[in-house]
Amino acid sequence: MHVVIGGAHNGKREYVREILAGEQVEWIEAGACSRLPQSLSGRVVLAGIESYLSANHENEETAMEDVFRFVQAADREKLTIIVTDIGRGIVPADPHERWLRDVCGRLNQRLFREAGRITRIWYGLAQELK
Amino acid sequence: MVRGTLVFISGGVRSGKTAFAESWLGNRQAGRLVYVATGRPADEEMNSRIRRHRRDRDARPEQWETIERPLDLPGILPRIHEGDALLIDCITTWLANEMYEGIESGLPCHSRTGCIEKKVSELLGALSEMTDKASAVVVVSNEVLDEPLPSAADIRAYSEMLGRIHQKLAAMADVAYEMDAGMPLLRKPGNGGIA
Repeated sequence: MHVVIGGAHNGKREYVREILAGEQVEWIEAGACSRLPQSLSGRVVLAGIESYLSANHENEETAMEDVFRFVQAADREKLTIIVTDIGRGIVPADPHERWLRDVCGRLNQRLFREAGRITRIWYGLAQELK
Repeated sequence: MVRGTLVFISGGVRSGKTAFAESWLGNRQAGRLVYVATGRPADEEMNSRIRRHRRDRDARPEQWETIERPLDLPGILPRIHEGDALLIDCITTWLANEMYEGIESGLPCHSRTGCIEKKVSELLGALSEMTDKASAVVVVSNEVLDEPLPSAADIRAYSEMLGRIHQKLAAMADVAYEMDAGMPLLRKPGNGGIA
């Protein structure tokens, strides 16, 4: 599993599109999903997980289960997950947004532990973290 | 005339971006040292921020000339001499000033179609021309995109545009640094980069 992380509008998707150019890719924009697909094959990219979790979950445990059910369903060798770092700003006034930041932070920690490769994107420049 | 070095430095607030940029330029000075300030003294807090930056500059061994330019950065091109070392501080403030330019007439730039896109493309073109003339151009900006996207439409547009500018700057720059509490992280080790 390859995790690509970075702030908003930093060029994460462009980077992934570039490294996977020419490959057949199932690209999932989770922000547009009401549930994550469970039948997956080949090269898979998952992006927009933050807006998916925000729109579909209120409980951390079920949110984590949902994401990791998806990870299990995919071929880890061929899975890329793009995550947006949302944990470095002012504490949001909205409780659901605070919840989301916490869940995404813990989700990222777990994804990082399980990933074979981690890349941080800083305005299009890639840094290999693992 | 050899083309100068374009340096992009971004970091959090009070991470030492300006001080690092000043010493970066001071250490390899060729011609004049020119500080281009985009901040506008809108309130007392901003005044004291500007005074502080001025004091820091005055305390440095080198001599700095200051150009105050809250809007229209491309307009300083004629004032740049061959071999100048330029510090542009900073893009976040410049972009905010430009987005709200014209607000007194009721139609700020961010609500005029294509207005900000035009200003940004002119800025990038001007930076390239400045680098042709100057010995070095250091462009400073801020890290503000590591949080949930704001809900207000104009701030969202601001974040998106700032991210686009930063990506362009990182691509154009010969050298790029991310500053973290006074520690420069060399993101793009090009010609002239120091770790």
